[in-house]
Amino acid sequence: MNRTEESPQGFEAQLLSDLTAHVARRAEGVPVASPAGCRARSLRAWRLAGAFGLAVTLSAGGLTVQTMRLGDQSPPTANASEILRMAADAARQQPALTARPDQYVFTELLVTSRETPGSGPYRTVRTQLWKSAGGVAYTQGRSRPETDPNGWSELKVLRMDDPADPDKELDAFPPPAYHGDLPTDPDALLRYLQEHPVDLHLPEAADEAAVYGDGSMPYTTARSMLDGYVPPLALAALYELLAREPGATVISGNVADAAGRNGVAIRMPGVTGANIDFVFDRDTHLFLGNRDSLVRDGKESLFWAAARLRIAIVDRPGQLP
Amino acid sequence: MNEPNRLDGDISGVGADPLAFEVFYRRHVEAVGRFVARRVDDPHLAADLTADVFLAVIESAAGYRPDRGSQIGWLYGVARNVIGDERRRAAQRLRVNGRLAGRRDLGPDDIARIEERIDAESAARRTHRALSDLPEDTRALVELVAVDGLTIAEAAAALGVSPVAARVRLHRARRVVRAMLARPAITLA
Repeated sequence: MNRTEESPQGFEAQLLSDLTAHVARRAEGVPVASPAGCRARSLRAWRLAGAFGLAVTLSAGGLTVQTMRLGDQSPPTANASEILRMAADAARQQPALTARPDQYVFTELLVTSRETPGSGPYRTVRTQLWKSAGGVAYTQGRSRPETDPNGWSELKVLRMDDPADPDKELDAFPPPAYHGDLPTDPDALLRYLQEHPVDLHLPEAADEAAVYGDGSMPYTTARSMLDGYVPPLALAALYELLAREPGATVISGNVADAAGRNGVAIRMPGVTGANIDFVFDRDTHLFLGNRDSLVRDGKESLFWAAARLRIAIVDRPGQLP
Repeated sequence: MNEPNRLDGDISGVGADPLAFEVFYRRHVEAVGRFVARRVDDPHLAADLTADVFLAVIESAAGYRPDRGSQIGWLYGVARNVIGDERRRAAQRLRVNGRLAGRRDLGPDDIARIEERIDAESAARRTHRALSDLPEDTRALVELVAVDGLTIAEAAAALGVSPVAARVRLHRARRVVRAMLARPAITLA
């Protein structure tokens, strides 16, 4: 503000020239990628299709869009806490799976996403992941376009990106995917989560105290566990805990997932500029999957949704239950 | 190309007019750099976020309404969203399917300049951290007023609430914040 006439220096000068060129291309109506090296983080967000090197346009795009609609029908009668408590009750009724640290949590997902948040076709891929139960091996996975039953990719080792250098991958195993030791009482679980935050692999010199010390961190850790397997009683405690976090809301209307199942979506609190929803079966209240949408300029656009089809314990990557 | 002669009022064209964008960028790059430095203390992340804020500006400028508040208020609202995204995505980096694209190349001079800014904003960063216990909507408001120096009216406009509601929330928050800032600094890096 006080440098109106001053010329930007160094990277700020380069950034100005990149961005000005970007604006010029936008003005010409040419579809462009963001300037090299400064894609908006909104576009950088995780993309499963990209991760597997698969990008297949779904020919039945209309169908996809229909299933991806952000609910606008009559609201469910229960509030978010009530639905999460029903999810807890449903979780308690599930059979428990056990796993040794050297085994793998297998999940199969239908992932629907688009390359950029605001535009472009949605694509759906069927994905199988094998995550190390004890966090002692890299995740492996394969995927295929939902429209091509024979189009499976090779099984690939999948490593986390290094947040400090996106061109590199982290030389670290993912956290355990099997959460067998969690307390089954919500209060005890909260204390456990506070003491054992999930490792975010923040860049060196990032404000770790602020991120890990934030009151929302136990809930972030709790949600991260839903990517893996949490046994029934601990899962019930986890949902009970999420039910206590103030601010969660129910998205009005039915939310059909990529597998065509009818769900109710709970929007997680404390998220700015985007929305993270967890989807539960409308009738059984079992966990169906999750979805992300971005909010830009007051408009919401859904850009990623995963429907979890099955979860099981197996002995080795590539093995199907 | 249109002359950027409306820049003091309407900036809705900066996403489509390179000249207008350049004027806007020159005018605000320092303010954005400082806004980011009040929130993160890693120079590379700060540079990334600065780039991201201006990209978000380009994407959302068409929605700017001069009658709803000042440029700087709007800009800080956009910047806040971008940094909120960053926090959110920190958790998502765990995901095996995470993809992060490019990163700004920084020279030694860049890093020195950004670090200078980061040092200069350490007190504000402490205030920002102290606010983390407030409810989200109140925190956003207090942040823009107490950390970024917006007027109540500007902050209210940036967040889309009425100035009266903003004043009420700030009044409620003031005592809480004062108590928090009175605490000794917790594990400052």
